[in-house]
Amino acid sequence: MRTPIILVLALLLLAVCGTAQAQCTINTSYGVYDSVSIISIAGQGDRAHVLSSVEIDGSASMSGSCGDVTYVTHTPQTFNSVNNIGGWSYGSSGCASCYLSDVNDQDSGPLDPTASVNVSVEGEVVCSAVGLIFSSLGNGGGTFTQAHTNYDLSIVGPCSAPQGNITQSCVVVKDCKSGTESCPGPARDTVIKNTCGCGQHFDRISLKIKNKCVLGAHTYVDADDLVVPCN
Amino acid sequence: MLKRLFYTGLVLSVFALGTWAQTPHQHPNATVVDGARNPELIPDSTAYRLWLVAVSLPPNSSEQQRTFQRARLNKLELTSEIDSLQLLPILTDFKTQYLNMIALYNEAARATLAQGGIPDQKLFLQQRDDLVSATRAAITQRLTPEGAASIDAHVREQKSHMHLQMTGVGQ
Repeated sequence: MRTPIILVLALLLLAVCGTAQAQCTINTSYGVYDSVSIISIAGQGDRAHVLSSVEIDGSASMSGSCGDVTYVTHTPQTFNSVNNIGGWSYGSSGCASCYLSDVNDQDSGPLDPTASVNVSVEGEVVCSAVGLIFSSLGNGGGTFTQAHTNYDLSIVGPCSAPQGNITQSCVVVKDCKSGTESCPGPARDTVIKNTCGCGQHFDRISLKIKNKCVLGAHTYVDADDLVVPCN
Repeated sequence: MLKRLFYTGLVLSVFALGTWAQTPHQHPNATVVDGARNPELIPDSTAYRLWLVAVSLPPNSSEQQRTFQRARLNKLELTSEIDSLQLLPILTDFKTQYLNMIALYNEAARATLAQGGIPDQKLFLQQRDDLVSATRAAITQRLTPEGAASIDAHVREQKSHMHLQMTGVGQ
């Protein structure tokens, strides 16, 4: 009677151990970071550009019995679209335990002062053996609008070219002749331009999403030919 | 006869169990942290790492990359020009070391996998986190207290734009 019981227990133990050893577990540890910012670029007609970035950073590791994974690859994929410019970008593939770090930047191009900007972002990691192992819709997507605050030139600072980079500093003061600003700017500010020459008027353009100003996302453009009231 | 049938069945069921167990890959339940909802679940060191990777550039960066960097750094609203000048080399050093560290680890990982081994990811992750800590320390030491505080506040605020997924391995 004792022999069959021992045999049954031994076989069950074998089964349990077999299960534990044969499983391949993929542990993932990835982070996705998206950010949207605004800038005016010299030589672009002094218009604001919205820049969107998506970053994916991290790795996977395997435990248990995963067989030969020498030829298994992991590839970071990021989706970054600004007003339909951009799309999917595929980073360099790495081995199954390799560390991946990839950034995908997109530029809206010069914007009309009243244009809104649609941003969509997403990050994924695809394994050549099992498919999608990480996916994240970023929080940075949505429709951004521009808020304006008008400024007048107060003081023209020196125009210099340290290390070949031309800069001009222009001290400006807030002057909302019409309209009410929704993303308040300072009463007085210094605008550093990448060209020589300050215009007489400046527009401080801030980014808003869902009627909320995006912290720190603002830029100054020379506004001589762009008359948009404070809004 | 019945006994023989019982043992045969038992042995076959063990093999069946073994076959089931060889299902190629198991994904443990993922912990997904959405920084917009739970910023407190994103460690500061992780937030700094993701932010540093995004805002830093290697020494041979293009004009377009520098434009993106300027736009990101403008959001810090640093009031001291000295802070801006101090920050750029710190970021370049970080990116250079970070990319070198990853390249070295990945090369070693590929070689280890080719020999049927398991790469030592723990050591690499520790080195990665040490680099982030050293970079944070450099920011605190070389920028004005106001500049360093401005960066710290910005990075914490940016957690709302971060997502983490962790299954087993520590972030």
